[in-house]
Amino acid sequence: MKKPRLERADATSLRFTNLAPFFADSLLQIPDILALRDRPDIARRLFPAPSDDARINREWISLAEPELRRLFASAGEIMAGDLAGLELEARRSPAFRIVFPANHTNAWMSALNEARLILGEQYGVTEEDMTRPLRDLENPRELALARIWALGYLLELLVAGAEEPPPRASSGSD
Amino acid sequence: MKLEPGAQIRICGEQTAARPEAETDVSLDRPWNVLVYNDPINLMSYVTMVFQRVFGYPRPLAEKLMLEVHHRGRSLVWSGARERAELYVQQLQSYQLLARMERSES
Repeated sequence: MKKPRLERADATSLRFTNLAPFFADSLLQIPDILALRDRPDIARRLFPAPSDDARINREWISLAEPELRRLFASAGEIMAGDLAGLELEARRSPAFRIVFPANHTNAWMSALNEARLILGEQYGVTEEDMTRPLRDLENPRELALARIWALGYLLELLVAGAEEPPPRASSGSD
Repeated sequence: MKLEPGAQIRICGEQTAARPEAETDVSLDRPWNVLVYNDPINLMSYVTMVFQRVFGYPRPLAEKLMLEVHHRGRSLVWSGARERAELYVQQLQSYQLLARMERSES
């Protein structure tokens, strides 16, 4: 099986290709994973108190935290909308692809990362878990680790893509 | 430590940012440190990118700070006025990094 790739679909769009079914399924799970955002143990990870100063923390809860919640929710909604475009690369193909607007990249990075963090918090994932081989995927915790890995692979591609300079306007000389 | 207006703030031996000129002396006493803590999930490349985006750090410094987070469990990534520290913590948290601020000891 080929590895997933991120490429430019056209001047304004990006495309993930070579998505094995597990990658595609992990993407489709993201809206449900993000719905766990408000669970108290998970909210503590996503919206940690910024200091030991009670006054700063009070201001934070009333001003900054709602803004962060809006930001995360918006990113998740943008990505969920784009997921409607997930499709098989060709009839009988084992791989999927998805095209999304390049200006949704930050939303995708946010949603992918948040989903990974939520799964990590939900299953108490440790540093050691992240470096050992996966075991039985029938086990929900191992499945979560596999999803963290798969979504991390796609996030890594987006980060690498974000570091590339934007394509030059066609000069006719290339 | 009291920083003079326009003084360069140095983190990990690297010159990083000039303190804004217009702040009052009150905010100059005991600067606030912005700290980022390690977590097992965030990718190293992602953390490096965030440091570059939020602080405008060059890649070598961003990587150095990221590795400090990874190996030592936390890194002091910026120091200065409280209002700016709050802004940076919010920006870092908007990228879902574990960021906090605390008043400098000195």
